[in-house]
Amino acid sequence: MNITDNKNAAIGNPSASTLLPAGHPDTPPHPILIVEGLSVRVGGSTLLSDICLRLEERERVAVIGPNGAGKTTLLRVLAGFLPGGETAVRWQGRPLGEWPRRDLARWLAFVPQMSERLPPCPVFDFVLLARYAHGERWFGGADRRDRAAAGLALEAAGITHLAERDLSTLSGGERQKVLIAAALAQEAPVWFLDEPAAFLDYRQELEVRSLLTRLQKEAGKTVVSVVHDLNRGALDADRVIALQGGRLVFDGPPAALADRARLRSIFATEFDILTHPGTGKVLVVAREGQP
Amino acid sequence: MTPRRFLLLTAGIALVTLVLAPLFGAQPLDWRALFHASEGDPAPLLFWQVRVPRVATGFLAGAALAVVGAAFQALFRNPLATPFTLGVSSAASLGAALHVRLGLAFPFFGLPDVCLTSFLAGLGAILLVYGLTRLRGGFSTARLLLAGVAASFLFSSLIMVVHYTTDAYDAFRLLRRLMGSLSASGTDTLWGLVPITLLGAIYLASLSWELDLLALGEELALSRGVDGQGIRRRLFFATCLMESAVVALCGPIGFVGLMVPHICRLMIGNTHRFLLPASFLVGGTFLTICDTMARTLFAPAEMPVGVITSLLGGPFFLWLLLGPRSHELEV
Repeated sequence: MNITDNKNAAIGNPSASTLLPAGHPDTPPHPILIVEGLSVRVGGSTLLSDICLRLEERERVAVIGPNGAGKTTLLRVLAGFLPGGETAVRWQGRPLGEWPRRDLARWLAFVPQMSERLPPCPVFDFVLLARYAHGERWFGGADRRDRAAAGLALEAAGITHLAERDLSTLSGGERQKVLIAAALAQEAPVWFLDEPAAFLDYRQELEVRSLLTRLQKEAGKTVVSVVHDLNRGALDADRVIALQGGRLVFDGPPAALADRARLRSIFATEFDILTHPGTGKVLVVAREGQP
Repeated sequence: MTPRRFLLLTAGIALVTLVLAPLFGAQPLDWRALFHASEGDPAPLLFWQVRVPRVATGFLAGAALAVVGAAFQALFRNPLATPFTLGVSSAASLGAALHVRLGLAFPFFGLPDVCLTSFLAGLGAILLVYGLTRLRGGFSTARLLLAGVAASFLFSSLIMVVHYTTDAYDAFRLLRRLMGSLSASGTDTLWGLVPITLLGAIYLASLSWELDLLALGEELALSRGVDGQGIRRRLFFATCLMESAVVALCGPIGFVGLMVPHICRLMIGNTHRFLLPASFLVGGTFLTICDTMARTLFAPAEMPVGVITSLLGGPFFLWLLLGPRSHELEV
């Protein structure tokens, strides 16, 4: 299997139709993020190599790839948490290195992996803290607008009842919803999510994913999420980006990804491609006993 | 207890302590003597020139150490971080030790010159630790912590060397200094401490929102718009300056910076907008009370206040650590 062929086939042809939101047929695609020739090396190892991609408004993009492919690193570099993207990454046409963090936070909200340790903190306060980027405030006091925004965010995420609870007492699904509510309160149009459904049980995962889908539609967010399981969040995205060994090896619609040869080249594993008998949804399943 | 009520309560206690503490001492003072002093009565002089500056110095030193401790715990996301973690205080002590050993003497605007040497040594350590941290670019808290702890050990052993080579009299003076004491404080030390403590505390309080976010973790703080490196650098310099000043004037007084913020956290939570003023008030009150005990318990002899804070603080902290609310003791 030749990886380069895939790459050309997919990257050379970013089908414009998938980039447009359904409700806005006339809106010309307007890239909010342009990445050109992004390479990141730390010590002697190359984490990302010559990445080129664009992100259009209101897109829902899934980032996939095997462990260690650089998915999380890519998100972190694009968000400016890790160095390397100062000139190669441009948000709104402005190089990342020139963005003050506070200004960028009004554009981009990052939802980290839920497994991260969080100190004891009441849910409402946690969501309120996400309002930091909105204005200089005297002595760390949130004002009435901030409280209103935090309240609305909790309501939109359907977790108003958790407001008084402490973060450390929540279940995984509840914590993830709190993180999402905080991102809502931050009022940034672009969201990065790092495996939003990891470590959740079936029900909580469905809840979190449907919440994300609903918010994305209602609020018109542009969402980029790292996805581990293709059937959960990748195949129903608008667009899929696949990384392998720090290189971008696929960038296109999920329909083009559901291809045995392509999946084998990305994950070095045989896959079966099935169709759900009820919904007609495409499912991919790794073939057991054939690594 | 709501944070606001706790602040009111601690402010009340602080006020009462500040008013009453100067009346206690090796020689009890009658407050009536202050207003109806007969000719030649030393009471008003003792009160205004000795007791009041000392109590105020103690209050400000305790307040500064506690506020710095609270900020350090958030900056390093580590409940054991104290104002002494980064070696600034051992450097300040080393400065004082060298001053005593070399018999330096130079007058400077009325400030005791040993304090000045000590403060300059503290500043040197700040720059050294900062430089070491920056060697490989960036400004990471992990590297800051390691560089600081290493510097701290280095300075501590240098103090030992100086101590070992001094004669008995100076060695005793030195030992008293290293225990931390307010006995040398007069009006001059107070005026040295007032601006740096008050400005520093106000500055740290103005970074409350940033501290809240830093305590949540690097990535969340960055994603909410906190300029991680810049804020950490500002916090580092502000806290270390305050600490150098306190150690230079009063010696290393332990446990206030570790314990007081944790007590306040248990009472009102981790919101720095309330935590910092609460630490200021409780830290000041605690050190004032400890110093009053130091002055009176073995009068006319005087104990170094650092001994009392640790004697009281150690068991109390263990009780916190192992007691029923220990699960809340987390930054």
